[in-house]
Amino acid sequence: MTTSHRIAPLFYAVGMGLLFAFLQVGYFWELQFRLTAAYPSFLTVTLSWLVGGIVGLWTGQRSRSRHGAGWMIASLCAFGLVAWLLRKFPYQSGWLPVHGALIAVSGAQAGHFFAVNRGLLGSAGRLFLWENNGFVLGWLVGYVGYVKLGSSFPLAAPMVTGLLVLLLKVAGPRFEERFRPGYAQDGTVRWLLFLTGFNLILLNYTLIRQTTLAFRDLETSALVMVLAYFAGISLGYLASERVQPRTMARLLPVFLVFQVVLVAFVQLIVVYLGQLAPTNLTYALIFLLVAVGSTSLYSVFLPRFIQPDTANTSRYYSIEIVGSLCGLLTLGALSMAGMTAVYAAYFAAFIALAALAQVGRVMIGLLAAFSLLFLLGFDVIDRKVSVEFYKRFYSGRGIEQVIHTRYSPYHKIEVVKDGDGDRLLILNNHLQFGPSSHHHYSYFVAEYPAALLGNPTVAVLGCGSMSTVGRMGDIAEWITIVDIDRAVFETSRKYFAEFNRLYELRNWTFVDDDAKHFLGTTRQTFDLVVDDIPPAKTRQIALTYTREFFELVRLRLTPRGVFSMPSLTSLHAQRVYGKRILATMAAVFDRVYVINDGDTSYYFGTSESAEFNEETLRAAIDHASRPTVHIMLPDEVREHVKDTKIITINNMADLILY
Amino acid sequence: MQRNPFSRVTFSFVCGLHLALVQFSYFFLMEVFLTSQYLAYFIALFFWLCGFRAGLSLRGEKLFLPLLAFGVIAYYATWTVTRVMPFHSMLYPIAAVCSVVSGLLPGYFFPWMAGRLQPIRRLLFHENNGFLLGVLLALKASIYCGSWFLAWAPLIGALLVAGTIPSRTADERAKMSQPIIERPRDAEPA
Repeated sequence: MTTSHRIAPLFYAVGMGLLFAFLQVGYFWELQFRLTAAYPSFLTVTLSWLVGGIVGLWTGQRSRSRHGAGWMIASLCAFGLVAWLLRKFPYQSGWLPVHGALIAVSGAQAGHFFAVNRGLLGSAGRLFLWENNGFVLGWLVGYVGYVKLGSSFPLAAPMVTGLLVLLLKVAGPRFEERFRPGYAQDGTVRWLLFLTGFNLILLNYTLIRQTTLAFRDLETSALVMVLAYFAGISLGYLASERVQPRTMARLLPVFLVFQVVLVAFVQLIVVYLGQLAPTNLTYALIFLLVAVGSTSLYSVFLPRFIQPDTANTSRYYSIEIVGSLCGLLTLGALSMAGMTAVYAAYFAAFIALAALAQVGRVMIGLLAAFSLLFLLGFDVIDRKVSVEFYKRFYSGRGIEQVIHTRYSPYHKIEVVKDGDGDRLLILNNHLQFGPSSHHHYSYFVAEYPAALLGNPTVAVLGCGSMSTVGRMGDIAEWITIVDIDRAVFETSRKYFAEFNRLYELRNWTFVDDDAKHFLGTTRQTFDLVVDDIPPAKTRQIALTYTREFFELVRLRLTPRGVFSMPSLTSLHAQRVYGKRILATMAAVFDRVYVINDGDTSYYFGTSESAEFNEETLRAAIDHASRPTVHIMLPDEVREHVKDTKIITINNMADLILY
Repeated sequence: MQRNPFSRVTFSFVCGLHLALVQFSYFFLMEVFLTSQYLAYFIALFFWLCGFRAGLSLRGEKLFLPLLAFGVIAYYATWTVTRVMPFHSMLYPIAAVCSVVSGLLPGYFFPWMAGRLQPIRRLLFHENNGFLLGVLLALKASIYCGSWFLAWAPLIGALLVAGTIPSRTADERAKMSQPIIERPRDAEPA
């Protein structure tokens, strides 16, 4: 017995409306940014869309296929091509007819959609109504997205929406459904599996990421939490036959509340557990909490649904995978908008899943209200929890207030105010910058070598507060700031302007790229490369402390070039961290000079042709600590590190877990 | 009927282990030789899942070993290209296509094994436990012996899988001699 399913066609109509709006907004913005803001842009988009629409309607009436996948791909390709052409040949009006022809392809997609789907919702009127609702929403979201997230949003939104709709249309749950035992209807089962795949991806980004940040040792905690994630899946598989639908309906609200509490307060939980028990026990307890309370819930569904119907293994598993693919696309679109947006998507999917899993209406309402309250209060809760967390870890600084919080795909970025009223930059719960760094660290790592070279071209790898840029901005000819995370750059530009002075300097540019990739692909060479990347506490960062990375740096230095790198560990300390980095530099660069200033050492790698003596090096120091610093020349450096193992990608653990 | 469930459990576990090694090798390969930007992780995972989805649609009984071989060859093709032209933009599409090819095996594996290891939760459970061990090994090996791991782990994983493939029972051999008849899509379940 089959029955027609209303939600999916409705979703499809709204989704297509959203897509058409995103495409139109995208074409408008792209032409206005990169060609002209005058009337030809508006006219071209409008006319081309209309002409394309007529062609699409005409072909649609003769088409046997209702799929529209071909038109979708053609339309997205046309959009991508317009964006590419506008970047390749900006401000060239001669290309306008080509842009018009490509815009017409998207217009034709719209026309084809209306022609072949006029009966989709029972009547053409209903189709127009729901498509138009999506269209209005799309214009609104497109405009707000552009204002809040910048020009990348109009570019990404049509692509992500188009791919999502295409995925659902081609491989998503079918509109017809069959009755089957267990969770009542086959359509219900399919949507449950789809939402399971979707939320498993989002969960990895939200809960696992938050719990990882709660620990100081980022590499170990990431490993433990990823293992907890998969252990939870095993647990769910194991329990799948024992958990009945009624039990699941009772458990789901508990799971949501548990996950919210864990996400919001995990930092404090870890702090308090840490006071009561050894670190390993704290890891074990959080591992258990994450495994039992997160992924185990989702992995119950798949084996439960496949078991009575093994012949459908492929079909059911496919739906979960399509859900995961949609989750990934959604995450890609939302991650730059911040954690609240990702949570909103997660909660929406969770509540939909709960409704499908027979949780009562009253409880669904309560869950929705609870989620909404959490989303509204998340920012406040997050800041208060952070303050308590930092009071524990940075007790001497008297941190009282979090001024700004932003989540990017790479970092939790926070600007906090300490007891003296100074601003501090914190990345992933680790202190990155305080005003005292500007006076010592940034001087020696940036201003000193820049002054030594005189008017150098500079690449700063890793931006942080960009205090280094402020320090050498008046000396350098040009500064290229490279950082993987644009959000850190934007935050520092706003909150640490007194140190980086980007508002008054005119000799800088920002490149949002990974340092390795930048060095591996740029054709530029630099007189000075400043390494301002945080200490190697994770694998990703440790890669920039290896011989392989230093070799890339060397290739991008001019003959007189200097590679400047700090070590926050004294060379005379028992820890070999700093010594290993120095040994690695000595293995790659012809000469390495060291300035030891208290507990911090500054390393300068150069080629054979750049030679300095101690007098020159000391005379160039324009800092109060000039008489007290200890300078090591290349021979002394080689002697100091002669038996020390260098860092390669084969032994990064020595650096991370020292 | 299952004559040798232990060997099938071992096989599922080892498959999970191999799949984790290959998937994480792709992640690390991109991270070391292309970029640490999330786009690299996204591409490797997204296209792996696309391959997974496509693999679920594959029919036929004799595809396991070819898919295992193609998956590993695809990985080593990416590995070779990263060595020849590190940080090149072409690595994105190459890694994407190869991830799809490597992702076919897990997709094919589940329906292929579903009839061989019952109940289905056992199959999923043991495969996932293998995957868990693979994740642990991969994350640890990446910081202790990165280039060795990238060069050898997928091959060792594949050899382990090939070495643990369970022999077919008489029932299965008889079943294989019959043509595969797919049940109509709208048929009521029994």
